[in-house]
Amino acid sequence: MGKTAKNNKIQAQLTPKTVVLKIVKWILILFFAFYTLFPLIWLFITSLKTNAEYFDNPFTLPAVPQIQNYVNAFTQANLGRMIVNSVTVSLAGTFLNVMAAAMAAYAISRFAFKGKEALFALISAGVMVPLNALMVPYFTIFSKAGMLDSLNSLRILYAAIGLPISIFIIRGFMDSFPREIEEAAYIDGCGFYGRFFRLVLPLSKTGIVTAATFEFLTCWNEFVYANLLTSSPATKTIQIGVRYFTNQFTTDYVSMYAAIVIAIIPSVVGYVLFQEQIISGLTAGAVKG
Amino acid sequence: MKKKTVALLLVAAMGIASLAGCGNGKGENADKNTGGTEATDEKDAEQDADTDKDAEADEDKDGETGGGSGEAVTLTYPCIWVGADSKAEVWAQMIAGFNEQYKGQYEIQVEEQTDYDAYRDKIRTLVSAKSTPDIFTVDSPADIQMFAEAGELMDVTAYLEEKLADRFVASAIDSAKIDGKNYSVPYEMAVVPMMYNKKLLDAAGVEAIPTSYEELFEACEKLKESGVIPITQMTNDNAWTSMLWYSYAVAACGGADVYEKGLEDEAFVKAAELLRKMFDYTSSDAVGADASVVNGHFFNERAAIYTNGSWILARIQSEGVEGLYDNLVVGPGLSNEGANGGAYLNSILAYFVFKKQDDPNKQAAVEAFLDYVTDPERVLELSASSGSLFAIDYDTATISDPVQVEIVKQSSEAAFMVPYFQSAMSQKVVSAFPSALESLVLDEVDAQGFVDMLKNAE
Repeated sequence: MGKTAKNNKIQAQLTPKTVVLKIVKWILILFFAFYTLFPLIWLFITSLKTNAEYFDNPFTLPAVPQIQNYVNAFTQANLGRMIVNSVTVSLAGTFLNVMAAAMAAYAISRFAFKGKEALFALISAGVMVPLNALMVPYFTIFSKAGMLDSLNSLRILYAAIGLPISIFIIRGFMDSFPREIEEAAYIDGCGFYGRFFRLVLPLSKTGIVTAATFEFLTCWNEFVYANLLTSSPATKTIQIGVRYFTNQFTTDYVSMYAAIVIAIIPSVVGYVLFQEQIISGLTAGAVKG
Repeated sequence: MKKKTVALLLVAAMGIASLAGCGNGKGENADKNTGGTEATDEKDAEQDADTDKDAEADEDKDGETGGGSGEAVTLTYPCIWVGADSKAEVWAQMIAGFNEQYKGQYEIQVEEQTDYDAYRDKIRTLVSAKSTPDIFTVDSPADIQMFAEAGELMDVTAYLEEKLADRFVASAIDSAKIDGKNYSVPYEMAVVPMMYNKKLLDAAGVEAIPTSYEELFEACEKLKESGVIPITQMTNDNAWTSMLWYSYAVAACGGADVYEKGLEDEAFVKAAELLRKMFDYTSSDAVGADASVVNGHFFNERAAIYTNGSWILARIQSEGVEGLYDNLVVGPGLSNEGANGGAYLNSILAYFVFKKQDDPNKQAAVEAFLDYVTDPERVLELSASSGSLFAIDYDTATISDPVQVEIVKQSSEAAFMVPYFQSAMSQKVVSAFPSALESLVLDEVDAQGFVDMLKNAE
């Protein structure tokens, strides 16, 4: 009896209109899946070809998969060490960035002081400054500080250059939860640091994850300053490794693509591990009323 | 509670990691001395070593830096001839040879620079910040002038004229002078022939290599009919090969001294008309194409006529289809309306420049380096292995590659030599060239409009 009712319900749902809508929905899903995945699949396939095959036709399969391209990427460009460098730089840069941004956003969001909005506008305007225009001053600062050719210069720099966007994002989240929660904690005897670390930070988690996601990607993909501030092989990051196979007039495309595939693996792994937090962080603003 | 403890530990670990090395960055900085001068084998070994071994090696190297090599004069050298560059292997051997020969006295610390645009930005930043490297290369006389005016470059005139003048090809040193002084040393030369796939020309019924633009377009018609892309063109990036085609057309329309008259010369408009016509005989993907597309067409015998510097020869051999190199024929520039044929594009591609030194030991180290890298025997080896040509007067008779030999012969017999557009024009005009070219090819502007766009950029 129950089974018949269930079948009737499914049949009732399968009207011509719903069927058409479902087909359209799946076509759209498949289209966007293809649109998103095709470049990655192409990249992987091309990374297994020879340069001659790539030049002949970029869209064919390799006659024999060239694992050697990956060996080249690791041995010639020294990608192993570069990945480790990029991981430590990105994690430390992101950590420093979101901590500093959260503190700044907390002050701007929760405290009343003269020139608050002007200060916020000034910080946010930093988003619009082209980073290449700051190469000389940044280089001079790190040179005077004796921090050239050190990964710490990159950790500090990346944390700093991401502050405008991180403060902008996190402040938006901090503005959204009621003041009364903090007041209640204050009445219960919670001090300044207690309120920040035990209340404000956990409540701003989605905003912090959003800012951290952007910051991590910035750190991971940044090349200009990595090339400017480092010089020895021990301090090179993954983006320099990716460009190891390109020169003034020549490029070993297939080895470069192999290096790119290797370079995106940690980001993909990170996304798989933290996808719940990242998606909730990135979509939280969408339903914020 | 457990969660909190774990979180705290993670935060602490991250904090420690972020600050690790703040003291001296020993691990990170330890390899400085090795730079990119290490042979690939050494790198492989480093890659294979486990963490402990790395740490030990780092300690050892650090020890050398601080103590053993304290007496050696070290010169910093951001080097572009690394990685996939055709000169990388032999150049690394030369640097290693120099370090070996002057062990304990001088040492070159190479910093590998692969991305050329980033390298250029880095050099300009370093010079602006008064942190000029001891040795580096530039491709633009305008940059040399700018750096020299900033007082950052060493004047090597006396050393060149007294010790090395005989080693350079005629007028190379003089042409690099600024106000009578050499702040740079011309080294790698760009010699750019026109290249033809004889097999495809024969199959299309083109009996002789064109010597004029009229003959070129006749050949293009035949090639097109035979189903082959006649000429390769590109508009992406810096539109490199199309810029070379334009350079040849400018030379054919204006002669040897065309750049002296500037963009006001009618030759630039006439040359733009020729370039526009050449795009009627190129591949359908030329607009938006980059070097890989252009090379792909020629390397796979889809296109018959191509131009690029002699450094591309090694790649044609290794990446072209079987037999392509055997069918490769090179030729000089074409005449236009019966004039200015037989030109060769030729520019200095890399000038060595050196930081102005107060320390006489460093100056002596720079002179030793110059003496070493301009040695004709060594330059010959570098040239033969890479296909590149140099401003050094080495014995080209010993080059065995027939195509390279032919390029040397033709360029030495050329009716006149002329720089290519990119090296003769200001950076602003060079930057405007690709977008102006796209407008020309898409018929948004005519030849005069194309030149006007370049003038506006200037």
